[in-house]
Amino acid sequence: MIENARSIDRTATVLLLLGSVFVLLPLAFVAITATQSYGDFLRNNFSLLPGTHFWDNVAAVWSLTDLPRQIMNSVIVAALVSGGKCFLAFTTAYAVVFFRTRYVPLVYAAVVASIMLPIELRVITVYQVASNLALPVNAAANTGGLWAVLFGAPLDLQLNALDSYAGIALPLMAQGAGTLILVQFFKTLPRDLARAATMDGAGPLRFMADVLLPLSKGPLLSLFIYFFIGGWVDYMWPLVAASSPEMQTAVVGLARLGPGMEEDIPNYPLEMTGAIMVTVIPLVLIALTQRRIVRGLALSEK
Amino acid sequence: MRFPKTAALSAALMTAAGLAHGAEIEFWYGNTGNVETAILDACTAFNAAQSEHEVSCVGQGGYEVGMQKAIAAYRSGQHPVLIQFFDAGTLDLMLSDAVVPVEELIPDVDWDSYIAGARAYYETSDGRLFSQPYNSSTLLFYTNKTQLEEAGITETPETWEEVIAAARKLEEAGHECPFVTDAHPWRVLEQFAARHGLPIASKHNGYDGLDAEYIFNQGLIAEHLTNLASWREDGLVKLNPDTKAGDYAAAFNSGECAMMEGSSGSYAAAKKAFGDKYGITVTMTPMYEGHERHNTLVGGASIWVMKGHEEAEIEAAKAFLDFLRQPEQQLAFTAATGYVPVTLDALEALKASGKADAPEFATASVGIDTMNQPATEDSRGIRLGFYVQFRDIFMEETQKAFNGDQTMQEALDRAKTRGDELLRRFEQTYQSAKLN
Amino acid sequence: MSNAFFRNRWLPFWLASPQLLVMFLFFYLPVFLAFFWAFHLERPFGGGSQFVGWANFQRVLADQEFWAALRRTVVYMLLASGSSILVALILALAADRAVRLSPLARNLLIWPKAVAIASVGVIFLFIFNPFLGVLAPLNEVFPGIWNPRINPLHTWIMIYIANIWSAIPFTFIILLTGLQAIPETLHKAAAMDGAGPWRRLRDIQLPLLTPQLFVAVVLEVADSLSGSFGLIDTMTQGGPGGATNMLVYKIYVDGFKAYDLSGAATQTAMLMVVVAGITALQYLFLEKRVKYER
Repeated sequence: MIENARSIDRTATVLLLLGSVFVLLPLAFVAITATQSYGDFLRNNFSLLPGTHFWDNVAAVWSLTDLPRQIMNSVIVAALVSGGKCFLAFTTAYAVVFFRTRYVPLVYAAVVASIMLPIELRVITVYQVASNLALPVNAAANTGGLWAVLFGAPLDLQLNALDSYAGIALPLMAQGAGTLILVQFFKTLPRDLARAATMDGAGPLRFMADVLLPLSKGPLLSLFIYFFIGGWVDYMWPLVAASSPEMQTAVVGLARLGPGMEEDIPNYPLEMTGAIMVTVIPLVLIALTQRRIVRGLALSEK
Repeated sequence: MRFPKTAALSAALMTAAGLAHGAEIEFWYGNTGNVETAILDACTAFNAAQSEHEVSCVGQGGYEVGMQKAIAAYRSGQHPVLIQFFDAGTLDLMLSDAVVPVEELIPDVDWDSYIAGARAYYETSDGRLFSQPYNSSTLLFYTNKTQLEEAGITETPETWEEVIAAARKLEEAGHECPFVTDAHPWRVLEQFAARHGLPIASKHNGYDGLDAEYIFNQGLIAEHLTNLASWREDGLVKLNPDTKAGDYAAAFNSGECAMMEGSSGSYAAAKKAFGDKYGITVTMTPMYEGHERHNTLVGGASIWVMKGHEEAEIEAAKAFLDFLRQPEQQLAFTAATGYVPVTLDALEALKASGKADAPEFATASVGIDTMNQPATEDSRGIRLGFYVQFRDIFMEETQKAFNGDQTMQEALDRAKTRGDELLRRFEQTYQSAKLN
Repeated sequence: MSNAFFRNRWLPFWLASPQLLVMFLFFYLPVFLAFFWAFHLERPFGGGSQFVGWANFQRVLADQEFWAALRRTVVYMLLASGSSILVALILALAADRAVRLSPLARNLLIWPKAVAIASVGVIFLFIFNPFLGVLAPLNEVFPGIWNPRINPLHTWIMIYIANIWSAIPFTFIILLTGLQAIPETLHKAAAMDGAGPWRRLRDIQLPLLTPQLFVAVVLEVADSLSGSFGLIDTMTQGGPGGATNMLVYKIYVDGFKAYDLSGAATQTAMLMVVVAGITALQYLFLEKRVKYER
């Protein structure tokens, strides 16, 4: 660019080269392991010599798992999770940034506090709630035996969300990262946007739909892709929430390739092959949309 | 539809036929890989063998997640009729009031056909079986016959003294890893104590009450662990981190280590890895000289019947348990997985079939043998609260000792103190519950 | 001031209500149900739970293991998020230059996002295998110089590197996009005033990057906390000798592997307090320094 640009560019190239190698090395190792047979693996453990069994492993994974069905489940769940997160984040962030109402910071704090406690630590109680979404309604109606006095019996509504796409996706949406990112984006928008819209006669909802939403298309799309991949690799909750094999996601289905007994040595070649097969879709997604992700997350409107 | 093969099954079918219609029930299991395939095969066979009931087998991806989900499901009333749990969860389930003892549910079965080592682990202290043993394994002693012979050892060691003598010979012959273990309490504490007839905790390992205390930090058990540490100093014993593979079984399979104590379930992988390169022997685990041999404990998992289901569902569950108990089912499962059959009639059937020496049954007879040694009050099993947490504490403290941060005696004393705290809290949690 | 312009009383509540409902059902209600256990001795299958007041808290607060795990967790959150942001920042600054490798690297550096954290653990465990991995030649020359299975310091290094690997994508993208949004004219003007590259980094790029850095810090601190579970579970199980036993992992093991629901819930409650404190600090001290104007 300006002064000694060449030496800066050379340093940049070296750094990027190192970074790329650092990122690729583990992936290369996955690819190599996927080409070995279980027998090779038992004799040599992990090794850096490629084998010749990749397609055998692919065929084995294909026959041991129900990939077409599970990949469809993954697509649906990941799309629901990321779509839901984007929608929730958009309306919440709009409320947080563009309203001068007193309780708004409280709402924001309540949402952001959820970022740090992973769902792994709430599995049992989230399951309890998901198995009957009407739990809080029942509890409220039955406080002090009120419902029983009025209607003769305590209220006992049942609404089981387990083993459904909604039941798998909804608890995964309860995480405030999207809100945080969109709030930051909205804060970088020109200050008089809302004032100008009002002068043109638009109310808050019109402003949101006609001005803010088009402006946010880029960030929302990036977030969608980003959360989609995140939802794709989620393991613990989809495993617990899907009681029937038909509802399992692809990453959960891969667990089937794990060792049969606690004492067994895992069939890593097979597991790595499965990991590659399941990762292909998000990887292609990244490769195709990388420019869009980068542009969309700029947190600023140029 | 195929015709029912055994008397047990037809009996089950006749009781079921008396009802208006059978039921569709769920069975939750935790295994994956080839064991899962074998379980699903058994389910398919059951559903094909009769039309009264339908069992749907649902994999949970692992024992621990399966247990977690069962807890959540039970609390929400969504639990299945049949569920498989692993050995360490036995006490929690017995005290849970969420299960029905199988012996109460199906009294007219010859439960004594289950060999002592497998039975005692899952029975109440007054001798009623709580759950039906399913995939069972136990601890065995593996040697790389070829490497031992190269070092001039022709007889498989039977005592620790002989193991160490062999280890010295191997070391002199330039072998870098004579004996390998991961020092997991299942191996170096529970199975060791059981076969030497020693308790790891008072009240017969907790069978006689929740007010038990740990007592493994003394006597032969403490001596053995101290020995392990000093043998490791001498290079005779290696632990996971000392091996290239980072795992004792992998190190044995690759020929890196010559001897190991491992689960009966490790046989198939070892055999496969050895191929024609090495010979393998599988025997009972070594004893210290001058001690009488008692039974080793059963590992693996058993099937439990959960409360809160209708009569028809219970009938279906009974029929499925009856089906799994048949000798031919047990042997098919053994052949597919390497787990050990655990009833005497299955063992008879194996002998009668003439396939007892076939590779897929190689661990079956020695496995039964070691679990069927004379039992004592202290070799029945482990019935101690928060035991999974205790195992972690034991690993943590002994690892520190192996790494030289404290002596083995200090490690054992600390593990005892911390373990006793867990026992007291468990006792308080289950204050009003009765241990049968 | 800020963008806050509308003054409707209830509209923002209705706008946020879908989010609040989801949060209530699947975050606050489950956390509340778990907190109930913290004041009881709770049996896994329910039934017979006894109220014990603050006894669980007294016990946990007196437990050295808890404090050690908490200390490790806090140090890890700081160091892990710091190191991953630093590496991602350096890479983003490099990728911001129009060098030939830049488009490819921008693509490659997002790939780790598609790999589940548990697989990351398995992979790096092999890469740092003292006998077979990338540092094995070093061990051939100096036996025992590298052994993450025994030496806790080495174990930590291994975990940090695995964490950096899996954390690169998000931080990298968000910082890169921020850098690209800085107008070229600012650079040129500063260069004409005689500001060198370091000077421009300090005076132009970093200040204008503060919104992105803030997001990166908040989310990386959170990710390092929740990601630590998968890494510890697959790589060390808290070892050697408990040296890497962090709170998220410890809570999971206590509660869901060992069925000590009350102990786990009590520790979760304590962790929540710490997390709330850290979040508050981030907003009080960091967000003030964020420059939103362009």
